[in-house]
Amino acid sequence: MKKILSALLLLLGIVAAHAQQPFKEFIYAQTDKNFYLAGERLWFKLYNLDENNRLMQGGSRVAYVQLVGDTPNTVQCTVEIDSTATADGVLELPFTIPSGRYKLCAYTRNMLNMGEQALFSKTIHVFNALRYEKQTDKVSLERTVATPDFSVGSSLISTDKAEYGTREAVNIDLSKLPADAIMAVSVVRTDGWRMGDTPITQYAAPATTITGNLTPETESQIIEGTYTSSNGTPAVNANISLRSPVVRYYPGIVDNAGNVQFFTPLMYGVNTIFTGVEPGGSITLKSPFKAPLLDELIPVEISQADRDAVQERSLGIQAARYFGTDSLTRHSSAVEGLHRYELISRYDMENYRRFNSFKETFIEYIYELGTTTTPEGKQRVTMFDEFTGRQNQGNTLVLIDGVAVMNHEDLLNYNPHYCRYIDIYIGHYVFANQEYAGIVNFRTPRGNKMHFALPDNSREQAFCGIQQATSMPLVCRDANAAPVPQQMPDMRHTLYWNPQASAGTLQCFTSDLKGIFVVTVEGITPDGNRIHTTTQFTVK
Amino acid sequence: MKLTKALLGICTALTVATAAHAKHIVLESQPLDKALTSLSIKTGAKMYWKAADVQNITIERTEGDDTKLKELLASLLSGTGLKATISADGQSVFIAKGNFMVGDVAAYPIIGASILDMQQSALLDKNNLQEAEEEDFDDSEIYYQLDELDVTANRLDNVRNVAMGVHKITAEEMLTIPTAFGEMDIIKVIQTLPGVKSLGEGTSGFSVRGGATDQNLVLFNDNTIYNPNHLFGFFSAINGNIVDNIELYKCNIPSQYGGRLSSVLDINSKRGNKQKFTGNASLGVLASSLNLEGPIVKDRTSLLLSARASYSDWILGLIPEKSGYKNGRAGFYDANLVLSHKFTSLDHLHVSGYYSHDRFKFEEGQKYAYCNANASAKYVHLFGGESPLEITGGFDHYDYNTSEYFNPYDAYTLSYRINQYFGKADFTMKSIEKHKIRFGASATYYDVMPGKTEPYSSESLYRYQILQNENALEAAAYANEEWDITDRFSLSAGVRFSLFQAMGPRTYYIYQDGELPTESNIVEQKTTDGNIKTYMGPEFRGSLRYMITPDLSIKAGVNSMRQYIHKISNTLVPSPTDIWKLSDANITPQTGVQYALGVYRNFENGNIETSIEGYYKTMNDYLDYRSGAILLMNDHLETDVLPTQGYAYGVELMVKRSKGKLNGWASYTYSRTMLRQNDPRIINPTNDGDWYASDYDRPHEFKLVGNYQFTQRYSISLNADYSTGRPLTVPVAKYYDNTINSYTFFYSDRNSTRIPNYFRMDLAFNVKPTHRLNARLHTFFTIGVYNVTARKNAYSIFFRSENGVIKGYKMSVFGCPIPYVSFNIKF
Repeated sequence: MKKILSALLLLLGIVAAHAQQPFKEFIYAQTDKNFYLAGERLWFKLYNLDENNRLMQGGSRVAYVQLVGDTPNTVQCTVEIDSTATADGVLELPFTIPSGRYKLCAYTRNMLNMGEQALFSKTIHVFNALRYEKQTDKVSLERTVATPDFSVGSSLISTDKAEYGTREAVNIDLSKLPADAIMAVSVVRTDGWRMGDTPITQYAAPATTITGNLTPETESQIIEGTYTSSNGTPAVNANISLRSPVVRYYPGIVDNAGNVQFFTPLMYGVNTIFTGVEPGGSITLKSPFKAPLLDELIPVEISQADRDAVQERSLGIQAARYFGTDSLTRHSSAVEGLHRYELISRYDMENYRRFNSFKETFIEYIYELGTTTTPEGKQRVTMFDEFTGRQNQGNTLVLIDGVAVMNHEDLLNYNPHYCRYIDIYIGHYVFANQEYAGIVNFRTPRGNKMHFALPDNSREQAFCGIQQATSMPLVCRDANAAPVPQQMPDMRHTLYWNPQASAGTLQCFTSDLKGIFVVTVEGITPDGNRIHTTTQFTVK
Repeated sequence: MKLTKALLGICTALTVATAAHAKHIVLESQPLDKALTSLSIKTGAKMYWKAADVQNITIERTEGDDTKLKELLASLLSGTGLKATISADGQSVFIAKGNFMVGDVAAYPIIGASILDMQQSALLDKNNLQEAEEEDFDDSEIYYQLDELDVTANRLDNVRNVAMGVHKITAEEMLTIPTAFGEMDIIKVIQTLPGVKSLGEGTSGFSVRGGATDQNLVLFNDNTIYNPNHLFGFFSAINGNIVDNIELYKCNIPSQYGGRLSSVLDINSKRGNKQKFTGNASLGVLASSLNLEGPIVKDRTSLLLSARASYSDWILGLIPEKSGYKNGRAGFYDANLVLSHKFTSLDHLHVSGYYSHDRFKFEEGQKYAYCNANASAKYVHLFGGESPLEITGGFDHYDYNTSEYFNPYDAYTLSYRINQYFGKADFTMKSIEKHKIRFGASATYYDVMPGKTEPYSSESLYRYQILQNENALEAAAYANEEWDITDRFSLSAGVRFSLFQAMGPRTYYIYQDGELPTESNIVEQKTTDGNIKTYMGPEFRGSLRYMITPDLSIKAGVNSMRQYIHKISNTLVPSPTDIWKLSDANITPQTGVQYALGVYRNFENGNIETSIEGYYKTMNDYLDYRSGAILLMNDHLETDVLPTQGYAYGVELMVKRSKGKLNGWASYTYSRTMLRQNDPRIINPTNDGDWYASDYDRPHEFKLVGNYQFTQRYSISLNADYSTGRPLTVPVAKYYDNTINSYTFFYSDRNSTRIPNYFRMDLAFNVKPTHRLNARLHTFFTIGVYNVTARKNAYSIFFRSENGVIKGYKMSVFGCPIPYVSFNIKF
């Protein structure tokens, strides 16, 4: 009963979310630098602001970040906006990305309601030192200042020395900054290219009006799809599920036009999503990335004199990849469930002789499960009901490695030798318009639903979920991390990126690269004071 | 040492380096990482390399100028598969399995340069991450698949295998065949196969393709079992619970076997578990057994011990009073030991021991007992991990003794014993592709004590008498080649040359040439310590297989055999008082040839096997008895036997389904076996020297073994057996014989009529309650009924003259359904 209630409450939650109206919010994106080489990483920090340029409270939970080029050349990701109304992440620029003047766009689904001009946008230059393209009308990048001096002005930050050797510790003093500020720090070599960045202190939310009515993602993530049916049957039971050892099954709402919406909790990482719907139909998921692409990518060229510096950087990127010194650390996020499932029993098939059919396995081993024949002559899986003391004839949700199996016969004909665990969740579960008398999840050893053929009304689609928290590799972030061995190259161009810095002292390490490095701190305090300050040091 | 060299190299290099502006660098032969370190010191350039890339690489002596770093590195790394990339300022050198892209690539396209697999490290990281996230699964996925493969590989593929007439049955299959009293019984199991005929209810003797019961070689772990029966044949001598598999060769007998005309039954026991202690127990109505197995040294030595004992004395008590056997007693016990030791993964030793003892009596004042004892040791070495050399030695023993002591004054004991010592070596060479060559040699020494009578007690006046020992040596050498000539066509050809030497010391008779040996035509009496007579000859084994499709093949085979030992029995069915007689000066060995042709077809991916096999075989010098023959305590058996000639032919149809809810096999056989006495020395041959049906001639035979599994827990098994009745000689008339002043029977031609046809159906219900793999005990029990239809099958028909009237009697062993329960526990 409690379960039914909680399910109903959650259902109400969904309805409430559905009723959520668009509101005004804006994003400012800070990046570690604004000129990248192919193969480098674009580290960013997003600040979710309201129309008064203060941190947004109760805004969207999901932000979309796109490095927009022309049609095939776009790099994108989804990040979670946390309780501080900020988000951070990384875009990995592939080695194949062409040189050009790109646009970094950051937005929430809610912001799309205010039109294109509401999206955050800034220019990013990318140069591909590995790929020669014969272009006639290139934008030539020139160094604006030979050696810009970032230490001028009233810098609130300082380093312990002005000059360092290679692979040496650098202590950065941030103690003069407000203690409650939310900040990100970058330490990047300046190669002289300054392309008129607008710092957060100069950012102002554009004046916009709300015209659209897309549901904001304040409660959950919204995955959209299109339902098509070969026989005109309306979809009743559209669902998506993820291959997972725990139940990750979400129902969808289909409107008359065939648009399907799935309200899911935040889903992290690159996933394969399985959509399911009545036989004869299918669901195609839509991309959540909506920033308009550039009509044409304006190519970029570098003057002959600057090429040595670019070559050195490019060599450093290649070496880091080859030597594996750039491996990212992804912090896994806890899996969030929409419903609180109660695992009643787990059957380890390893402890039992595997029979040739699940039907027999049920009879001999798993008392909670049984089969019944529907009036149409099809076999269905039934679950034992503790209250009535007999097999419940209601719907059972059957999953294989978390993927919903609509036609139970497909599973009953599956080879039980491939099954490792059978997880049983007893109780009544209400998903949108479907009620289930229990859930059974058949799990294969590797969770890849070995040799199980999905029917036509099931689709397997790649889905780029929310980026898991990612840290810079090795010595870049953590002073306690092991130093790179001497015979391994350390040619970091971005020495340090910390999207969650706080006032105090930070430590980073210089790499084998020599030159002038700029420390940039950007941030905002809860009462709306915006911070942008820089300092510099030299590595010899 | 290497370090010294490296230091030397550095020192040399340094001395040279100081001499001129352009430093000349010499690197001695040393590990690559050391060379790179010293090069880095000498040139001031930073060298980067991956430890995994440079390990185990030693460079040759290299020299060059530091101004030509690129050339120096190129020669240093030549042959290592590594490339050096030097940065534009010359200060960084990257050693990698490929060139990094440098130079003015934006201005000039680079031709032939390759981007390294730069995703590699990132990918690796992602995988590690996924592994950490997922639960720690073992490689069970692979394991399951292997498991399944194993099952398929264990099955003898009827279509693919070159040999014909081979049946392999595993312990698992044997369990489901219903047998009387629920005992898992090897001989009963093979009697369900086509071409294998039982001799009657409750007997363990069997006839293969019309051959006699003594023409079957029963081997248990290489030991010859002379009497494979317990308790009048209701049980097999080998405890079914320790059997791993049995192989019956009816036609293409492998070249390593010889010495019997009809068949070889090769019984292989399980080997002890080398990991943990396990065991099983079975409880039956007549006997129970306990088997224990486990490691002595884990992974190395294992022991399997098994014992079985009967408590069957009560069964004779059930016999009606009027039979006179009500006070009878019968029982047996047997024990097995199998020791396996692994010296290395290529060297194994297997030791097997077997002892069985039977005793019974039908009434007070008599005792029967017999005993099998066997021991063997086999050493196996695998050459190249695939070609086994097997060296086996062993000892076989069989004896019986019967005593009668109704009357203390003529109480006596009669005994018989055969001892056999053997050694053999077999080598199978599998190293040549498409060829499997097997060759070897064997020798067996026989020591037979053909009979001894002695007084039962000191009161007895019975004469002590012992027959002369029979000794002989049988030796054989063979070679066999199995050759896959093409994918479809395979050949197996073998030759076995066997030699038999009857040896003294012994006194024997020479009889008149051209006459049958009788006591009246003895010409000479000879005594010798050496050879009495040597027989030898080649035996050919050959078969061809042509696969028309992967599911259809035809095979042809020829098989010739020689048999030097004969069973002398005064009853058709095997009885403990049968004696085994060696060939000697007057009794020649039996020989036989079999030709066979078969078509094999598989369905359902090999799950259903069908076959038609036809055969024709001849037998020579098969022994029959003269009328009034004295077979016990006879020193000159040649005067009481006759050589006969025989032929047999038949066709066997079989369908077998190995897996699935319904499995089992069905077969129909049409076969004939004919004999004739065509030795010109026989003055008055049986049936005027014409062909007559052999005792084993039973033309039609239908057999069915079916199992239906409702679930894994419950299954039923059905066993049906129909065959034509055995031939019989009956009195057709009576006449008054003036010489004896009595009516005497006039008999029909030999074996011209038959006893009624045989039909029996058995039903069993099997329950396997535990399927939980981690359960401590696994039980399996069977409830069954033997002879469900309660048909009173004739065991024999005999005639008695009672008050001047000849009455025919039919004797049945089981005239009613026999219910039984058996219970097995595995732990």
